[in-house]
Amino acid sequence: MKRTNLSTLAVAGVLALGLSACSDSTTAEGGKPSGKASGDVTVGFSVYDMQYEFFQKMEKGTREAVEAKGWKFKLHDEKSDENEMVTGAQALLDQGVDVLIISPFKPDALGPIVAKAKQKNIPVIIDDIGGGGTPYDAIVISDNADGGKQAADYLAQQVAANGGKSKKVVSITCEPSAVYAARRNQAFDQQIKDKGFQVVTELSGNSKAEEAYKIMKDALAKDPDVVGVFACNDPMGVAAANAIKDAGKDPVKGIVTVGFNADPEAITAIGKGGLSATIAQDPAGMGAKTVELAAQALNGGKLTYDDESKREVFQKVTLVTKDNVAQFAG
Amino acid sequence: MTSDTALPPAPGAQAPAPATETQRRWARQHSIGAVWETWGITAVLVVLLAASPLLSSDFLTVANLQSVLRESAYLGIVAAAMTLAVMNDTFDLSVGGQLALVSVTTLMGYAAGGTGLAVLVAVVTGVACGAVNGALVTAMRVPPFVATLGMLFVFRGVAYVLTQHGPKALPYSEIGSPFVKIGGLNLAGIPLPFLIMVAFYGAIWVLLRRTATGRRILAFGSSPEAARFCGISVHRIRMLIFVVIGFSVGVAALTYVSRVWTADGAAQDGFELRVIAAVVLGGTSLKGGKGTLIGTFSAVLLVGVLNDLLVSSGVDASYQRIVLGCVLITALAIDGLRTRFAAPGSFARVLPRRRREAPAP
Amino acid sequence: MTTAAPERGARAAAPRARLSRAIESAPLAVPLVLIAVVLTVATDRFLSVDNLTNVVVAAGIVAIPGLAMTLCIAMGEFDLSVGSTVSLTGAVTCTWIVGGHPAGVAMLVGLLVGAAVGLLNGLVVTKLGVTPFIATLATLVIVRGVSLAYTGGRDAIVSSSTLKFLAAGRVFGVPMPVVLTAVTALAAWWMVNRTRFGRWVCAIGSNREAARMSGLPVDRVRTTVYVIVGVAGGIWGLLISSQLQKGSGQLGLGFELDAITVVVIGGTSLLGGRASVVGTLLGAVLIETIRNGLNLLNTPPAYQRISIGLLLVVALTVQAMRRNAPAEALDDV
Repeated sequence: MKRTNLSTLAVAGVLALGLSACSDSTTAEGGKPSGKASGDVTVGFSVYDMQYEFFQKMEKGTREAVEAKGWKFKLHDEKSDENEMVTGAQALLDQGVDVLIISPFKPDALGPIVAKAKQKNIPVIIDDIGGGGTPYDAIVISDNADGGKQAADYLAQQVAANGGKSKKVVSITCEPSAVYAARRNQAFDQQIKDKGFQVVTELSGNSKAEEAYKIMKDALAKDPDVVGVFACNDPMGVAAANAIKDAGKDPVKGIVTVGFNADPEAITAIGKGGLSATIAQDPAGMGAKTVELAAQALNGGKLTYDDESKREVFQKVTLVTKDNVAQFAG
Repeated sequence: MTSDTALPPAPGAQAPAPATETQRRWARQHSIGAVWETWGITAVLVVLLAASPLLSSDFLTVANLQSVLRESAYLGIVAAAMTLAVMNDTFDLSVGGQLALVSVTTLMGYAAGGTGLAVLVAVVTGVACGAVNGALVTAMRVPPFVATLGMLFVFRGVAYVLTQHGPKALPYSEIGSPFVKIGGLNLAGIPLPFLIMVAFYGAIWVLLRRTATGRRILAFGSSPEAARFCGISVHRIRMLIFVVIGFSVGVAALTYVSRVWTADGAAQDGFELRVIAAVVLGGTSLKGGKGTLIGTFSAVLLVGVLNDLLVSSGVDASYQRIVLGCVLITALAIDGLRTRFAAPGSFARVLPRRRREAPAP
Repeated sequence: MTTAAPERGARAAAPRARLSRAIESAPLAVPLVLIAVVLTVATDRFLSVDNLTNVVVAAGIVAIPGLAMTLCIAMGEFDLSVGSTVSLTGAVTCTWIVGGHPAGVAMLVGLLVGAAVGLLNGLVVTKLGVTPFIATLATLVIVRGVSLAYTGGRDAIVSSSTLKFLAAGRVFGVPMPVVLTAVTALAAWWMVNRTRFGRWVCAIGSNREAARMSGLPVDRVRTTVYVIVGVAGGIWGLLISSQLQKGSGQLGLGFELDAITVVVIGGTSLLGGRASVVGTLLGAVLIETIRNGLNLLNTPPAYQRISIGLLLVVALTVQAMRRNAPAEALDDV
């Protein structure tokens, strides 16, 4: 039994030796200079979660922009996990990428990643979600607050057009930890209150369609005279619209239903009159913008920002309704 | 001999003793099967490491190996304590909730009083969580499975309440803090979290093999009736196990949150299942009474290596799941086929069959 | 309304025991009535027809897999893969509908996929001898992966009135999910209390080795139970996809715990050997009433989790404290 203990130590020891023996070989390659000539540039892109169509589009936009420059592209999928995010993004840095583009699952977990990149002198461009107060080189961000505001304006206008009898609206939020997405509902709530409406139900559907469906059903039982609903993302917006339909009401003419993201399911629903509107972000365009910023950073030049002080580059959001939905189809 | 599997044999068992049961046990411990039980998963790990250059050219670099060891540590530390629990024929489903809660309170502790307070808060919160579980199981007599399933919701819920105005995080200005070093430092090229994990395995090994308490843990898992008959207090042992698990989560959370810098109620969803999977993959039987720390240790690294290989060779996340799930089933099927009829009381049926299958691993 | 294993059978036949078994579900009615009273006072809409319909429909939907899980738990085992089955069934059905197949055929194929997942679980557990808890944990991961790979991360969006009827239709004014639940519950009650199969399930739950030695077809019964859970998970998936009019790899995350929770709160012992059909129904109603009430009161989801967790702990503590031999509680599970 004594040998078990020894062998445990031996395993650890072998690993340790292996590591310390190798550690000399790498010191040479630290501190890569920036301002590389194009041709042998590798761009590392750490993406939030490839299971979502939004990020699939973002990845496509980024990859195509990288390939158009004749650069190499390395993808890492964070799979909606902060541990995977930190481990994988740091691994990209270890693999010697020349620039890191990242759409962080948890912006607050960017610290150790950005710190490592700074140490290696690798520029970091953040794509959406948030920067977590780190010294990144640039962040491309959708204007979430503006989206929430546009949703409120459109909702108020449509309620008036429908001849809505009450001023009661419902606001369905994403999971409580999604602080940046929460700005959509915060801006919506503020704007809709300014227009004289009252948010009678505000609950988190945890970004899940199943939960949003139940919340909407319950909200309708509580206030049958609700005239509008805004959901933080499209799966929840479309689920709310389905709940409204199942309660025997119309999710456009009876209760104005607005989602966020312009996912295919929302576009389909708007086309069929099953959803009033959604707010389109342009993930592919955001991806292309990050690559442009990466090129500027690699050339050692100055980056062009929309907001110099926060190193922010804005990507506009667009209201999608039945009038312009055709542009977003396909 | 090298096995830390199964109940410590009676002194006489080292040499063939007259009692047939002892003889059988001796034979079992020295068969290919027994060696496989302890070292099998380690062998798989070695094979995988040897094959890794074929699968990914980037794998065998120092930075990457450090990365795998660093990120495996928090899982490994809790898995060591969970091995104790599973050997004792119980388990703790609440560790994911504990990890989220401890990570949140640790960051709050850091904000309030720096590294020292953060470490203290981590350990205290972890032990407190464990004590609550232990009290439910011993004093209130709730079955462990359900008590810890319920507490999983409760711990996560409390973490959610504490972070309802946004996740707790370490600001970037703290980049030089000693707290960050817990997760980031390398000593002689070895990541500190991994060293903590090795030390933790050492401590659990000593507890299990060198103390009376450790023998009682195994004895109870192997035969509750016999253990009770010998006057072993079930309650005290169960309480201790849950507190040790809570403590391990406290330590693990330190290596986790100092690396990831942020936590909220949703942190590491499904952690409990990953921990139990590592323990079982390592060869510890869910029927209690036997288990191997070496196996758990290797299984944690195996999962880490496999995950790293799949990620770096660009395998789609959906296929990554399928591969990891299949590995788990295969490992269990090997174990399951071997011990299929080993349930207590079915020896008469087992033996002829065993003999026929004897050469099988 | 509960049934006991054969060795307890003689006693179970006595009228006095039958009465005491009927009372076993009573403790659930107490919190249910209390919560209902509180909600009636605290909100003016709790007792409205719309709201009560919501509660009953939601409870019915979770009760269907709950009833199948009751069998599984009575057998002393678990099926953790049911949330992934929900996702895969919905994804397959909706993809078939998108592909132009009649909705009826697509739904049937979906249910067959659910049954196939159940069969896979059953075979892994019986033929490979893997502990059910871990085997179904592995299939949970695998089936979720298959569902994501099958959909390629894209939703299959449908607009099918046939599929919609399942969750939103009414038969003689009764919502379809309630009809489905009633049928499932009657079938489950009959199976547990009136058939040889039900007795076998409980016998295996009480003592699997004894059941095997007394010649019961243990492996076949176990496999059948997993197939039943798979089909019930499939029905659950169809209902969710019917509500949302889509199939997706993202649906059904964490549902396995919902299904187990209603069974456990319903009083079916995790030690196996007994199944409480009425308890599971009541458990589902209780959980959904709490959720509905917290929604009506605009309570953040964090408190919903805490209250369900506490309810589980309290339910189990009560269950454990009522048992005569407290030490027994520590032996298993």
